[in-house]
Amino acid sequence: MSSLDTSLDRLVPPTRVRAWFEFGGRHAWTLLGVGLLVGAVVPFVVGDGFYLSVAGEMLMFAVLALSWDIVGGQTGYPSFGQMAFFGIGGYVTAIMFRDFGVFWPGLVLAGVLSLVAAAVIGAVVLRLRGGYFAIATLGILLTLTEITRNISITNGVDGISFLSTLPATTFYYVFLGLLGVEAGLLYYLSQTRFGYTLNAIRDDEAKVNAMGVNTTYYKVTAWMLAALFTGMAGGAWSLFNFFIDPLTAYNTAWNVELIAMALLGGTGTIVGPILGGMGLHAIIRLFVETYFTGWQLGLLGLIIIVTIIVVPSGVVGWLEERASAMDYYEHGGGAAGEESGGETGGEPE
Amino acid sequence: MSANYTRRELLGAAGAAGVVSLAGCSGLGGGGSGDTIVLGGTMSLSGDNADLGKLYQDAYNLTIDRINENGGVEAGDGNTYELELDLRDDQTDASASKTTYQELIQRQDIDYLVGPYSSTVTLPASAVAAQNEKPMVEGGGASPEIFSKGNEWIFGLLPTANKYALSSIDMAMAQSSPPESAAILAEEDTFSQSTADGVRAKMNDAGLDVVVDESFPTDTSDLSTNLGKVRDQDADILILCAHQKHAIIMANQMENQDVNVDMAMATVGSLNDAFKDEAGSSGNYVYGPSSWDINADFEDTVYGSTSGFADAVSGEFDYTPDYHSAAGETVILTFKQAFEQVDELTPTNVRDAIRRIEFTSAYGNIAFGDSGVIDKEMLVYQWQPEAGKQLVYPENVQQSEPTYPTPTWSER
Amino acid sequence: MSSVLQFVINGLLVGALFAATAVGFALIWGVVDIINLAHGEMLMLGGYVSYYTLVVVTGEAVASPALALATVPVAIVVVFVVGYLLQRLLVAQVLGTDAFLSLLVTFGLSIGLQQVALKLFSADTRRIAVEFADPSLTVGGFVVPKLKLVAFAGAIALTAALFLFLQRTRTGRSIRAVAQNPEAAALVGIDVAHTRAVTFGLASAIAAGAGAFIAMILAIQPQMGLIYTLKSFIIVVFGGIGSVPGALVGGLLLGTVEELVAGVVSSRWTLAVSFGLLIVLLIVKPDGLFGTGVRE
Repeated sequence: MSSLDTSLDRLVPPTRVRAWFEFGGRHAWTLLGVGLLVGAVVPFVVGDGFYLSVAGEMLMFAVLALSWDIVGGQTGYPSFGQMAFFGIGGYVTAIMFRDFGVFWPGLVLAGVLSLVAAAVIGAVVLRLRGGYFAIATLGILLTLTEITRNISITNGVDGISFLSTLPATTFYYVFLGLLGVEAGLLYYLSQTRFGYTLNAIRDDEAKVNAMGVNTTYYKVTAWMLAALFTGMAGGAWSLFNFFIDPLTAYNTAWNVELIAMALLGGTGTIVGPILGGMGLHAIIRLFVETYFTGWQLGLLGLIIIVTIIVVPSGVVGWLEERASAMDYYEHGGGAAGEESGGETGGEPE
Repeated sequence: MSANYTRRELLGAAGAAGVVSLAGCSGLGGGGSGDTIVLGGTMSLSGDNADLGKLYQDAYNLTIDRINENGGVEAGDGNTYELELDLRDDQTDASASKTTYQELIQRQDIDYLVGPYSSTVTLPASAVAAQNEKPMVEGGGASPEIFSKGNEWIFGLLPTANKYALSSIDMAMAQSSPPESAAILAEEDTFSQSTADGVRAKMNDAGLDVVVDESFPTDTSDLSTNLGKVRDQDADILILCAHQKHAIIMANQMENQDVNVDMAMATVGSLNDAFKDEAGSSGNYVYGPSSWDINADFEDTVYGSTSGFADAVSGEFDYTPDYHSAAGETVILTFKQAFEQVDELTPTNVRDAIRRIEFTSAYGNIAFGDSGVIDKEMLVYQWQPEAGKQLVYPENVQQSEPTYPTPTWSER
Repeated sequence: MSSVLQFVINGLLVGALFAATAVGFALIWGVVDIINLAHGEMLMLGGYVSYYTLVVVTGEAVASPALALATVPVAIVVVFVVGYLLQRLLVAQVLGTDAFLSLLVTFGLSIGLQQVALKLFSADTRRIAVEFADPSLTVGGFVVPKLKLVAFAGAIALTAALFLFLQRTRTGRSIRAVAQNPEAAALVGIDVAHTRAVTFGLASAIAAGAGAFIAMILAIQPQMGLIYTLKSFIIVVFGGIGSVPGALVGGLLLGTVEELVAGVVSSRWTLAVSFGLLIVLLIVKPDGLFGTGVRE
């Protein structure tokens, strides 16, 4: 173990990792801008079609993982029902496009309705904790799937399909914009009382309550924020994909996938879920589905298990631990969970 | 660090992507490289209906091997091509369907697409085919939604779902003691619901009293309460619009629940060996529709004839082919036939050739209608205790009379 | 009215199997503190073990009732070993971490096992055909399939056996001790890691027994597990974590509710009602009916 530590020290010296984090923290806004610029150029390089689809989905999963992390990682409420808002948003834009031929008003409406749904659902389920919260959110996802199957405005199990919608680049830029705005907003919030309070709720909710803070307000606001971005991502996705049905809209497997993404990157950070979302999705789409067809499920299962056992704090979390390796030993191993928002620069690419 | 690292990675990835797509452009015009034409597509190899997806996969592979063993395809451009298949598992999940087909088209440079099994997966896949102007031939997805959007690039070998059960109702009505009441049990998926829509309309036309009309989720594995309703309402005929799993459960539970109807028919998966193996004697007298008759001998350019195809499948795999297998075979043959007819191999030429195509294969007479579907009437089969699976309707082609009404459980 | 009673009978018959599945789920949750999303896969494996035992021994999947019943212990023993090893080798790694990490690990396990089952057993629906001379019993106008009655009795017997085991045996007492306080249990000399693995094994074994019965009365497929895991959730939330009687009552009740919805309303709403019930129960009565209560 100690020889491993020594070689790791040589490979990734804590001082250098710390310097990276400091650099990221100092230039976060610049990095975000550069990231967005690079992202904006991508469609001109890759053209239309498969690579644009993958790039768009990578951004989308980054938005989803980041949104999940607001509640799951920052606040400590791991939702297995995040995709509920994705489905709501997806159906709103699909129905608006089908019936009125418009996209942008549908996207706005998708965001608004996701917010409303989140306010109602959040007020109820955020009273639960741990496993109970996870199950309740899963229950909501499954209930919505069943309801959507059985009502006519969503066209039941048939779903809604299109031969063509808008150019794929439109949706790509929607995803890029969502990610940019969300990453910027979360970075800003991480330095405010709001961000600190969320982390405090995660670490010891009872104590925060005892201090007279209305934790419900903070939790529901965070939940609504997550729902807003998730709903709008879903809104863009249904038309980007030409098709939405109950199983793709409220995709339980994707819900687990996006949790795995946040974990792999590092929960409770901003860079982590973005990297995890983009990275894992790229691996799945560019590699697993092409070369390991028929084994996708098994490999995803393996990736999830290995991640949790080997790097439970994710790549960025692990680097943070390296950065504070010296303090870590001094504190007797208790510093791993500490999160200081300013340390992790927010940049999407 | 993360900033530098990611930026570099992204630029690298973007650069690589650019190179690949440029390479793709320069390679345009040839369907695959050298003397090979690659057909690409996805199939339900895991997830719901993977039991039926396997039938297609087997038929595709066997047929392509046979064609290559016989020297390949002598295309109309004067070259001889070997065929190759790039078949992916879509997990019966429509959320990855679009990108997988885009990947086949762009990254693998595939110009000729074979379609998925599931109607749900076929919907986004067929949109990708149309946008990229690549012909897609499929022996699965039969939801009318796929063919009602004016998509000129999709061709389906199976009759649309709403027609699946119509012949069986005709058959029942033609009996000396025709039914007066009917029950519909339908699985909650696109295909089965379309089937049920067709059944409902037909029953109304025929003046049948629909006394039970229930849908159940795909996950349901116990149909007893629904079957109990069929028994209590005394329905004369029962049509189960669902897939193989539920067909097996229906046969089994009808016995346990003592449900006696004059005709019980399941729309999908009630005619293959796997059904009879699992349903056992309770599968006797169950009806099923097929777009294909294993005994109607059509000429086939690869296997010689329908019976040649049937022998080849049962020799290679240990089951008797059903219409899924035959449709899978003819997906490949449709492309082969089209390649032989075009002067130059381009997706548009091949698409136009498929539209005009007229040939026979193990599956029967192949000619696609304006909407891209082969408009066949379904044949009706029945499992009979002595003779096994028998073609019972229409009368002019029947092997034997249907045992109608089905004897009650106590009489068997 | 009589048809409503028939729905209740149908529900109780199948509900006993839900109960036998859920007791194990409740036990793992209570003792090991893991929400095991791969629990349904244990049931699936049990079904396949039973099926293949029969096929290997007799050459076909058709059996007399006695022969079919004889395969149940095989499924129980094999899956006990599988469960024991899974706990020791894999699940133990995430003990004591966030609840959702264990959820994810067991989810990964669940999809991994589905994939393995698909490759090993193929996607074909399988069932064990049990031959009765006269398959259904008619009592006072109600139809009761004999095989379902056998499965019902079997499931109740499995559940009761587990309950007695926990109450009466030394190992059972260790299990309860670990559930109440692992540290204290360790202090009095109980091998906590072993006890947890035995618990996991036992829970999996009971589910496997239920799976064997399901192979006889319904059918089995590689991806069948998830729905049973979800039902177990609902039952355990209703009956309480770690509670065997709670799971039994919860299972019978869930079966009844589902069949009543299917019978009186429509089977298309059964899942929506079940999942809706789950949410309502969590909100209104998070302690469960018989349970130890929410600890967090």
